[in-house]
Amino acid sequence: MVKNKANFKIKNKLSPLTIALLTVLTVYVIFMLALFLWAVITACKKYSGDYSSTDSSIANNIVGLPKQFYLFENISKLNEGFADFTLIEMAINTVLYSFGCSFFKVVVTCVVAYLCARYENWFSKIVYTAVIVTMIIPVVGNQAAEIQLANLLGLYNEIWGMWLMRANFLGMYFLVFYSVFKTMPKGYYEAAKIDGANDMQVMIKVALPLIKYTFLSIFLILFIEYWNDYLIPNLYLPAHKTLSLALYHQSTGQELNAQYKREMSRVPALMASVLVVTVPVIILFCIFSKRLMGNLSVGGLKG
Amino acid sequence: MTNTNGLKLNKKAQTMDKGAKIFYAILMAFPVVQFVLFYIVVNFQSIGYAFMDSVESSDNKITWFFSIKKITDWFTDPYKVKDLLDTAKMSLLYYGVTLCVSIPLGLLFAYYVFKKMPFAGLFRIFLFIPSIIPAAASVLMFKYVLNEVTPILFGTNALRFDTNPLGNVIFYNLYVGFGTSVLMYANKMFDISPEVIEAGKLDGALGIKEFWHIVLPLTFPTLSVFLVTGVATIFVNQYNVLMFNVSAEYDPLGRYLYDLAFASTKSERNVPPAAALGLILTIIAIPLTFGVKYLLDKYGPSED
Repeated sequence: MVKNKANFKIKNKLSPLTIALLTVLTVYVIFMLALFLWAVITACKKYSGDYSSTDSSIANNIVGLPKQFYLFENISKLNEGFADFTLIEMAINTVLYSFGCSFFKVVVTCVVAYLCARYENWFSKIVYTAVIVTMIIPVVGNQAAEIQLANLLGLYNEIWGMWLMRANFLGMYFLVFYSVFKTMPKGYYEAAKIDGANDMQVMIKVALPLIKYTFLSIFLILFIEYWNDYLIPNLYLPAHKTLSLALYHQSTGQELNAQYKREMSRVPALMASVLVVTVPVIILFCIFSKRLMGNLSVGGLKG
Repeated sequence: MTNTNGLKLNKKAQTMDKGAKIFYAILMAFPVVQFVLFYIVVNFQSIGYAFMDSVESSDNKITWFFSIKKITDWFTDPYKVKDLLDTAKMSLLYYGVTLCVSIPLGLLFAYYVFKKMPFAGLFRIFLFIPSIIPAAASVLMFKYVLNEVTPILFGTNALRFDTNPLGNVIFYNLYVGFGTSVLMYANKMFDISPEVIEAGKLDGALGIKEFWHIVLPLTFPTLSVFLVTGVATIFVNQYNVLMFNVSAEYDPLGRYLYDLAFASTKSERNVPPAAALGLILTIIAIPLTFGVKYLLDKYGPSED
């Protein structure tokens, strides 16, 4: 009986569907690792700024290992082509943009969700309805008008302006916080009230500590989203180049050069830039992978 | 008596004292102002711009006036009509591939993870990673490996990115698109009661039958969210073509709209065409979204 069960299990696991999926997934992983490996190896190769040179070491060694280690020299070329920004400045801009936007967004969302869940009045119902309605109704192409408004309010081209513009309570994360606060026993709040806590103390000392992991998960997801973003900074922050935006400009500018040798000579610098932008995200993922992956559920996250 | 008291107590508990009202008002003030400014005002302003036109005098003074020309241009100007049709065609192609390939594959991969088949945990991580890697970085890696490495490894130019840009852009978007969806489908599948799976097994639902008759219907609410919200992506998703820097013939609507928004950063006079197109697309997107939702509610599989 036991043997039969074991045989059934193995047969089930090695069905044609399993084998097919295993094959596809293995190829997928190998392909992904190959991309990274090539980027890392290439980032360590010699960079040649001399575009007229036909003896660029990268052009003659596209898939081989680097003969010498040039990674840090290549990283220093990240700002080439837009000398107004140093690598440090771009890194600071990126951290300020991603940390600020994600932090203010998550704080505002969390606080508004708390207020709506805790105080069930007519205004909370309007706010809740507004969130649902804006989620269902897709509004397309209002960015041009938003840019004009940002200009008018003096927020355009300012990192703190982006913090303000992104500090809204709309979207699925509101529903995540709302459902967590809603399921929290009311006895917690009442006990704190009896102990003499005011409304602010109840929120800060009772409610918020109970949702710290949900808060962290959403903050991390948003942080990575903003870190990776080059489209919005390209529109709203032309004077504050971020690392992803620099990479975008560097790659497209470079691709305007059609000559193969000229293009390849800059690839090590480009791949070094790729590593600069990617490695912090990979480190974050390694530290918080369970938090990032474990909390994702229907329509977003669960608490 | 008890009920009445209970009701009174509940009402009292829900009534806010003065301190609570002040606390509520102070904390709500900023979010509400922010919402009014950056959602309501922006959208009304966008509608307003759609019905405006301008002339610039010799001394660079801009005069605005009411006009529906910027809207009608999208139906009458042959160049704009062509741009719109071409980009809409590309958007539908990218969306269609997502619908027909990415979603079914994502569900199958999620099922693989759910059934804890060989290396399921590892694949779960590797399927997620591309979705957190900056697109600016992964597009470059993808493009250069295809362009420069595959000819050396395979001795042919057939796999080069430049040989088939459209196919490769579609392939890339499939490659990076699994992460979040697989995770969400799998998490939803993990919510399925083991008793339901066991009962299915007793009835002979194994392998693909189990997936089709038990797992898929119970994962449908998550799939439905993706399908409904996915409608809007037809109009806004750029499918990374900006980063790929491919020829304009492969641009979807999202990229076209982005370019219009970018032009508006140079001059306010460029805002009306973008706002007009946005309004037209929103008018199309709203009923389309509700239509998809209606169809899924009516004809989609029931969890029961």
